[in-house]
Amino acid sequence: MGALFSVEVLGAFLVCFSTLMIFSFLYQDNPFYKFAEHVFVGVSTGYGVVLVWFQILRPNLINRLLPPVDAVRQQLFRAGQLAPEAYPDHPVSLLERLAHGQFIYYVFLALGILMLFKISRKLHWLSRWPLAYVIGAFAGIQIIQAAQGALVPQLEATMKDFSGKETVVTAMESAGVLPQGEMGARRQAQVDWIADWLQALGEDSSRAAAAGLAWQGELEQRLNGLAGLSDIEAPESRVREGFKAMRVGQAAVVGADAEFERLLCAGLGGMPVEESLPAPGQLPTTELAPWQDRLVLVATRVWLESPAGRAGLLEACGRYLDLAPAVAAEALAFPAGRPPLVQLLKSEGFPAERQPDWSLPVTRRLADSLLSEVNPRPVLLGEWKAEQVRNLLARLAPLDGGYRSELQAQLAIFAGLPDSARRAADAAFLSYWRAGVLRELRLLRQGWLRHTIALHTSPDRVTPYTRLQLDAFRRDPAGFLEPYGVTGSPTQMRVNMLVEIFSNLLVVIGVCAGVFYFFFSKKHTGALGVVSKVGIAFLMMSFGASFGYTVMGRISLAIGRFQDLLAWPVMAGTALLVLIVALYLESRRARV
Amino acid sequence: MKKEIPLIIAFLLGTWMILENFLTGIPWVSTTKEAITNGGIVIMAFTYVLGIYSIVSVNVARIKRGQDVVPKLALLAALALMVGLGFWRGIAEGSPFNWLYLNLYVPLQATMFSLLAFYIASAAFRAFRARSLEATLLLGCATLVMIGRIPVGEKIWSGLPGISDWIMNFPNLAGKRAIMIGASLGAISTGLRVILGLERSYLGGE
Amino acid sequence: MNALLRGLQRFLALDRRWIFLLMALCILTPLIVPFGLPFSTDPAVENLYQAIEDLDEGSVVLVSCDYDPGSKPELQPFTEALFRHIFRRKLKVVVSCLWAGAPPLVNQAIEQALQAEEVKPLGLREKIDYVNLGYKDGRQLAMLGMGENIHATFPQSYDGTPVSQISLMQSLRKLGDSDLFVNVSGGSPGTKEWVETAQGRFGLKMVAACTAVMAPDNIPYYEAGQLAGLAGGMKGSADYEQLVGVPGLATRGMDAQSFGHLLIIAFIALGNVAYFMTRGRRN
Repeated sequence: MGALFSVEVLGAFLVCFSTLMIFSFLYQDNPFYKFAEHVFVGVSTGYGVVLVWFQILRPNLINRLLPPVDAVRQQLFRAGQLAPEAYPDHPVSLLERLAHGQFIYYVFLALGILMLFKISRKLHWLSRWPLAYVIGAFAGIQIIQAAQGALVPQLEATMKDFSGKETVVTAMESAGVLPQGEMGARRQAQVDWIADWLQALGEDSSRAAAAGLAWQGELEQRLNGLAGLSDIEAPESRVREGFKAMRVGQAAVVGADAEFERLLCAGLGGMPVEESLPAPGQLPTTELAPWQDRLVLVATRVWLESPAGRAGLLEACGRYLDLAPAVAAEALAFPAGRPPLVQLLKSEGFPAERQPDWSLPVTRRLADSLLSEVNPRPVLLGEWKAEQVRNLLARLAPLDGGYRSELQAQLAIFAGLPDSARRAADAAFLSYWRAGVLRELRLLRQGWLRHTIALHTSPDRVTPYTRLQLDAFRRDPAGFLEPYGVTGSPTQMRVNMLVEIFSNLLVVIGVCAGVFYFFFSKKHTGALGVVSKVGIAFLMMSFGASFGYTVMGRISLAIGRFQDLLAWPVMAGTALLVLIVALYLESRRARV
Repeated sequence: MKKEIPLIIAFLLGTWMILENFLTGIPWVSTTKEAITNGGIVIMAFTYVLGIYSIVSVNVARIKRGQDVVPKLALLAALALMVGLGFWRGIAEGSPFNWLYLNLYVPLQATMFSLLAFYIASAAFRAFRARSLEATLLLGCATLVMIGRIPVGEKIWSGLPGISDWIMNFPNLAGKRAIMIGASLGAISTGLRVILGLERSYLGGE
Repeated sequence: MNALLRGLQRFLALDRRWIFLLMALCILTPLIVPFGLPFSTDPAVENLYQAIEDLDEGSVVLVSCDYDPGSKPELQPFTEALFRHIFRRKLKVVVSCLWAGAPPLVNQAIEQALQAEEVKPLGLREKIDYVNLGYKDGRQLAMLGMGENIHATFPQSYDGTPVSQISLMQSLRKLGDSDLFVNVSGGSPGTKEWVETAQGRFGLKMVAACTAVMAPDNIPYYEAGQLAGLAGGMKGSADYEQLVGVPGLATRGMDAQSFGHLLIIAFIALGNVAYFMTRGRRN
């Protein structure tokens, strides 16, 4: 019984009853609505006055004229007039407090009091002084803010970036490289990444030894490649070849099968896709993610059908597979639909118990990423606990050869890499990967897109969200790239771009016509009439949008009220009943 | 005296507010600016006292004349209750003042505003007619925006949110930006008129 | 034909209380029997979310809550999700209010966020990790004052503690000291004034959540890059709830929102059809 009359229940009843009293106006005007309306005015005014006292007048005025005892003691103490031991008990007189006040606030107090003269018949002109203070100040503020905060930025936004985005599409395709700026950023990220690794290596001699010869050569090669970017245009340059190989890997990551096949074939022998590959339905399924199977399968096909592509295949699918081409071909021939690395290890005669635990998805992904030279290692390793890393390391210990030692070295480094270095590596990878994805999709826009890429890939921006994005991307590449405007076929992209340009043109026309309409107060006839009609059309469209949003807002408010009522259904029902009875009695009384 | 002093005050304050924008990093400018802005906050707070006076006087007069006695008394009682509780027990969480705010003020105000949802529905039925090209544009945009912003719209056709976005980000942007540019120029010119004393309506009659 | 005309005219003169009743049913039914229709999130809200994600642990977010119960259903869900997001990301938050009605709503939202299961173990403490500075009048004067010295504009927090005793405030002397400025706005003073002050004048990175009525007016600020993210109305709050992963009142209101809109659209269509038919007759 006690719970029935708790403060909470009373509150709930008050909420429901006051809500329904106001809603009763929808049926017809009635004394209960009027009562609630007046109570609201009273409550809100009272609330405002109390808040103004506690939140403004007391702290911002009274406490400055008559500082609290503690504040005076603090001031005395800071001025060296109070010893620390005397601090807690030092008596502060009223006079002393007044003396420590900020005298300028007497002026504001006086102005505030003058404001009250508005109600006097004779002296109400005195209230103009504080009014002039406030209105004058706001006039000045308004000039600066309208210019600084609205006029200039809005004019700027209308004038620049007309097409929205600049495209670098066709040139990219033939050159196979990134625009200089992006390239620079990427190179910097890679150099940073490598530098971080080197530094981490340098900090620990045993780790440096573990990195071994295999890594040294690779690092050197990479750094040389990065340094000598000018030779990128040369058709047979090493960097360009490197890029080709990277493109294959990146396309595989993207999961864009057709695109990947096209690239691979174009890169390896210029063969049309249809001639060299089976139809997608005829592909065998395996335990691995589809793109990985596809990589191996396509590589095998190319290997078998295009002698010119053999070198490239090794480049793409296992640069570090220190194997005879025949062994690699056999491994990659994919007879029973098993993970290629498993076969590889088996074919080399390693006992099963010395092999990594392939039931772990992360192990498989790691192995396959290494195989396809996509280089997602930092990300995959980031998901690993140091313990798992050491486990895999131990399992791989008996392996030998360039590829294995490289893997070992990387794992060793990662197992002990400081967090910051890991983050930097993560970031570098993201930069590398994102830029590659965009390039492969033949669309790299400047401006906002560049900014977005930079935002998502700069080393200090690797957050859990970007890692989530990465996962989302792996699940649904096309959907993920949509916000970046990278969707669909090239034709569709071109259409999107035209729509974008048209829409931006529309904004310029709309803004000019609208401003015209406002500023020519003479009669709108002739050319001026046409322009102002266009201006009106745009204004109407924007009013339509505002109207739609207004409806949305109002309905939301009603939803909120109903949600509150439904939070206490019994109480709401009771209140409704009470109100209906009261309304009925009231209407009968009125009739009498 | 009655007009000159306010005009001088407005001129000084307005000019100061413009100039201080260009005088950054000078200590005395910062101190003055701090005092002027905080003084303004205090002065504006006194208008609440005026507000309470006018509400009480208007309602007391009505009660004396015998008009709407019960609601007017309720208004004064509610006001007195809030002020009394506020000063008696403070405004902290868990205080009676806070309790009344949450259980009376919040539902009353929120419901008052939500009534508009119903009137807008009635207006949609009776008043919104595609009588001219302009009205048709308005209604068309409103309808597309309304349907594109809700889950059902997305269910009907996945392209609807895109269309709604397009309307918001291009035609609406153009219209709103034109208004914004116009309003900013207007604000600058009225600001100047106030500072220069050409606009004196705030001084009232006489 | 005359009978049809009369019927239509009678239909146009329908007692508005029937319309009110239909509206109430359209809102109430999906609230009682929810459909849970999925919806996609607005890119402007995603950018708002990302702006908070981009902050490093320990960054200070300044939130100005400028609304009152009149827009509570639209903005309170946003504020609740915002605090939860901020706390979860281990950011610090200072709240100020330029609307008298806001401070108790802010306290309510903070309380709610602190009770969340992922926030509770963090053991966040008032005045070290978060503080509600309360209310100030003065509109742009208060904004400019905060740009110069927040400690002078807000000499004490909502509960009366002097700012000199609030450790969180020692690193936040003026607007420019915050890493991100968030405005939750129910009208004026609100997003427009803050963009012109905090962003235009002090160059802060700013995001805003506003009522649906204000959202179209704030689009130019977003499109010009003055706002890094924008959430409009209950839909914006629902989008943000989805992104933060805490579906609340706004998300639950989306079905009712759908039906309300459909009803309004149906009313506009019916009204126009009836109007044009009767007008054609009259002519």
